[in-house]
Amino acid sequence: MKYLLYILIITSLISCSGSPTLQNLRYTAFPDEKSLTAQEISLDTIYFRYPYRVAVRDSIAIIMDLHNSDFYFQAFTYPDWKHITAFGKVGQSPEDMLSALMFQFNSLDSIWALDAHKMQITRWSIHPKENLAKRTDIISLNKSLVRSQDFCITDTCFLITDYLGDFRYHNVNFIGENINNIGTIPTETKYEKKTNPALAQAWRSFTDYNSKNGVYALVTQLGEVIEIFNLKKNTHTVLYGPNGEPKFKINGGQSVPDGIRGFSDIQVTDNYIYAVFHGTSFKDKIKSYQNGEKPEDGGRYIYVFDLDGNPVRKYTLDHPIYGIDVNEETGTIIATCVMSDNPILEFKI
Amino acid sequence: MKIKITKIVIAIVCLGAIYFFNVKKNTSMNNLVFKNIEALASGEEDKPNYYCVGSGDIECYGEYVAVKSDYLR
Repeated sequence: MKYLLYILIITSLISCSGSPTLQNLRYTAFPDEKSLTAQEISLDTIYFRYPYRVAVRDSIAIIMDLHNSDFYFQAFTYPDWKHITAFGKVGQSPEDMLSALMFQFNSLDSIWALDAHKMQITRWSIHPKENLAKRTDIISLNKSLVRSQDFCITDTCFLITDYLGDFRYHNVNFIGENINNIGTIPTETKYEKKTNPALAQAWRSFTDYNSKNGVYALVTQLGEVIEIFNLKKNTHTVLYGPNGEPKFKINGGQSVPDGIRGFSDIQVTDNYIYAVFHGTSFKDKIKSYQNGEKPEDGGRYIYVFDLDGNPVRKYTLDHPIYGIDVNEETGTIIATCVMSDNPILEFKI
Repeated sequence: MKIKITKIVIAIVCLGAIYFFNVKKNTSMNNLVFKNIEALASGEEDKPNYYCVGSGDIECYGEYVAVKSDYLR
């Protein structure tokens, strides 16, 4: 009997040893799959270098151009796409932007833009009748945040992903101070603490928050991980897709992407989570460049999950896309495409 | 009594062996995975050896590129 006890103790100790554990949920497939065909929208008057994000509210559409040399943002009427104004001038002066990386469009007087180089979030208002945009607020983010790459605004604070890898995200108040650190990167691999900054780079995530249901969701730029914080129910779910967590190498203290390019945008609606998925391998991209070719840039899939993270639907697209704006009421997805002369695509779902 | 003590000693020795085996296994794995980091920590940290190509949203030296790689030549 006592020998049995020893065997049990030893067996339990072996099972607790340092091998990796699968602690997060997995999805392998979607119960429903559909193909979507795009309608291309021509915007003859404006030239885009890298149309990265799009958002539509109150009959106004705003497109963010990640690599434009003049203005980061262009505002149009919607759905007829008449140009209203450009704003977020690229430049070195105090009023210019150095590196716009994300924006959030809530209403005509509540457009928020993140400048990663300046570590500023600026608020803008659009005045369609006067064809102009005004900068109304400037929030300088605390230097302890180092370099913020995505943000969401809630009623009480900003949710900003962590850059150093010690936490998952921060609550930042409206004067730019970090008031709370939340969570950790949900990796299943054990890393030493000194690799945290590279880990955070590899786990760079795109985020969205829906104030109605309190869901704050993140998708990873590399690999295939979706993370759902329900801030009302105080729950946290981590889902790994077939490609698993971000793969990377460390070089010069920096993360060098490996494996696959994962997601590029996410939107949390009242009922679902939509995420643009690429799934292309970096090795293939590198081969294309080595052969003097430009590899396809963008995702040909939109994954849909319910608010608990259950896979619902997979859309396969006829164009590669980056950013999306989903309107469930009209059954429309507006998307940006960096590979086409017509940068805006419309899908009917 | 003597037999009881012997059994306890055997159990402790077994547990100790398992502990040291696991520590050694983890150390060897860490050595492999983080060999590069050790090299960087010893003075190469300021000389990253990777390449940034194209326009995209992968962060590279504060810019945003299509590919950041140490394969490209």
